[in-house]
Amino acid sequence: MSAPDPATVFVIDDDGDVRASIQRLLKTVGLRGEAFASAQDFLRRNMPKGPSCLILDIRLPGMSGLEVQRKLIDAGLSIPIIFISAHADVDVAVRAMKFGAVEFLTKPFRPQELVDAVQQALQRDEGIQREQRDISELQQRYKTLTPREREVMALFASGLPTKQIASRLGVSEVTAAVHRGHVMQKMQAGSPAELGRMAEKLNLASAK
Amino acid sequence: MIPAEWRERTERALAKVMQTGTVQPFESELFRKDGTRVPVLVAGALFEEGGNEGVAFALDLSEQKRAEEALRHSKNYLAEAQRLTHTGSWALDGTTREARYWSEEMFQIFGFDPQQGLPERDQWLQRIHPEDRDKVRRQASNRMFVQKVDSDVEYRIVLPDGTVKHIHGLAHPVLGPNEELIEVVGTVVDITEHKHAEEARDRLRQLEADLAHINRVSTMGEMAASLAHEIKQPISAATTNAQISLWLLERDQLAIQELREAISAVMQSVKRAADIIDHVRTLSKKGTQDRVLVDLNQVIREIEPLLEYESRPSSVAIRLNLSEHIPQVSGDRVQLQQVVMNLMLNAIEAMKDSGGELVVTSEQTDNGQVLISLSDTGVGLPDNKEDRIFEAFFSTKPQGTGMGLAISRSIVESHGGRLWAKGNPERGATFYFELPPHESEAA
Repeated sequence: MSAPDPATVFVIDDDGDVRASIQRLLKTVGLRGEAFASAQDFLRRNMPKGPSCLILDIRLPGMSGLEVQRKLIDAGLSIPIIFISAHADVDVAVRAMKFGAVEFLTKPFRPQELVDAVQQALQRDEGIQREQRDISELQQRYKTLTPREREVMALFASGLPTKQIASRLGVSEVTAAVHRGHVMQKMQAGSPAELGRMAEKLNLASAK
Repeated sequence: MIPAEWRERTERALAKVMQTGTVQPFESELFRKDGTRVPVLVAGALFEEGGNEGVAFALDLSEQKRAEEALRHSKNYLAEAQRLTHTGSWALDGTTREARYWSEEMFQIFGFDPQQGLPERDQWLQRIHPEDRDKVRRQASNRMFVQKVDSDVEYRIVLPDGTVKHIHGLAHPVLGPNEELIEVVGTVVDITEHKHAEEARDRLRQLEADLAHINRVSTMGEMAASLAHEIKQPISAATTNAQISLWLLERDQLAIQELREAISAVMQSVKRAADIIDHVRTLSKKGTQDRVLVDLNQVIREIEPLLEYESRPSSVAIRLNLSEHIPQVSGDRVQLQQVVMNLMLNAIEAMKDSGGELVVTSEQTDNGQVLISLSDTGVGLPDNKEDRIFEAFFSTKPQGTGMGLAISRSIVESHGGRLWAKGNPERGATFYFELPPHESEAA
């Protein structure tokens, strides 16, 4: 196994003091921070390989924090967001949370709260990334299956016993069992139950 | 000589004369030599009954006819004028007090049918709005019949279909040689439209007052919000850096350089917060380039009607006691209006529950300053807190922002003046503000 990619915490706030203080805070707790004065600067950057999260000010010049959140969602980027705002505006906070924000902190926030929220956000992103890695790995394995084996996997995933799979495919029970063995091997499934979970992750519509 | 259409009538008259010896005069027409017609009154009689001698005459009616025509015209013109101006006229008998004459428009305004003849006095009184009836009756009987002087009254009438009209009535008694009342003549004008326009104007004025109030409140609200937003940035940064410093101190190995940086950042942010506050304070001094000559009497007179809407429901009377000899001051007109408005609104609010009187006085002091004082009979100043009322965010009112007096004072001070308050010996408080006259700048 390769060494895990380092985590990155992005900060977008147009206030220089706030930006610098959060950078220093991240450094103090051993996190890598990258700060931007505007959303446009941030959006030009490529997303890193490792887990990341975004500390986002609500009131920004040009594009508001809520708009940035919207844009990221539309682009299919799942980076977790922690909002910070000098206005304790309930409506804005509700909207931000509804669209999946990790936390909404009002300035001046307690630094510990921000650190906690960052840890939580990074964990969430790690989980998401792991999940995405798993799925792409399974997709690679699935590609190695023959068309017939894919059929067997779909039927198997829908819970049919070997006997019925054989009759559905018009082959002998032995042949069906052989196919199943190949599928299990190629997909690296330790048990029929694991193969079922894999089919679920791959979103194989159960062919009934 | 006799036109064809009149011949039969003439022959009948002749027959009547022959038969009875006389005939009632009748109107007819005759031809002149030049062929034009002339209106005439014709009559005739025999000298003795059964005889055949008699006399007949034809009286030239041309003049009379012309006069009649002219009268009819002027009557029409008068009626038209009355219709156009919604004015009715009337006359009533000095003794019986019953109507002698009602013009067409009079019938129209009061909704009576001219075919039914003149309405009786009681019928007419019934048309008057119940709330105004006594007033009209008193005016009529007292001024017209007892004092025998002109009367001028406004009242409402209610027509049978429920329509309410506003009426302005004028009456003039006509007296005989011995001062006896012969008749009363008068006019009524339907001023309903005028009244509605007046009401619309009142509503507009009320709106203006509302707007002025909202404006005052929202300007301060916005200012407070933006101040809060601005100031939270450095406070947030300072808090973060202070926490970092604490964490750095808790570590086993002191990171002196990092500590120094974090603490310097705290100081820098705190200084910035202080600068923001200073900046807000100097905002009100910024208007120096907009200075114009301002007549404070005029400012007070302009604002007073705007506050009627605030003062009226609280039964607060506003009295202006303005000296015409005060010099103008040099300043920002809008800001000075705001000061006057703030102080007047404060006074009205102080009397909201009790009612009372607000007296606004302007004068020039012995040392030449323009002094405006606003004295109310309200709740007075909070005990032992007289000095605190000018502090920002100090308020005794549940809805107060606590900024009104603070802003007013900073405006007055930026104009080189002073603003202060004193409790009145009996009730209420007096707020004073003093500004240097414009002349002194030139001197």
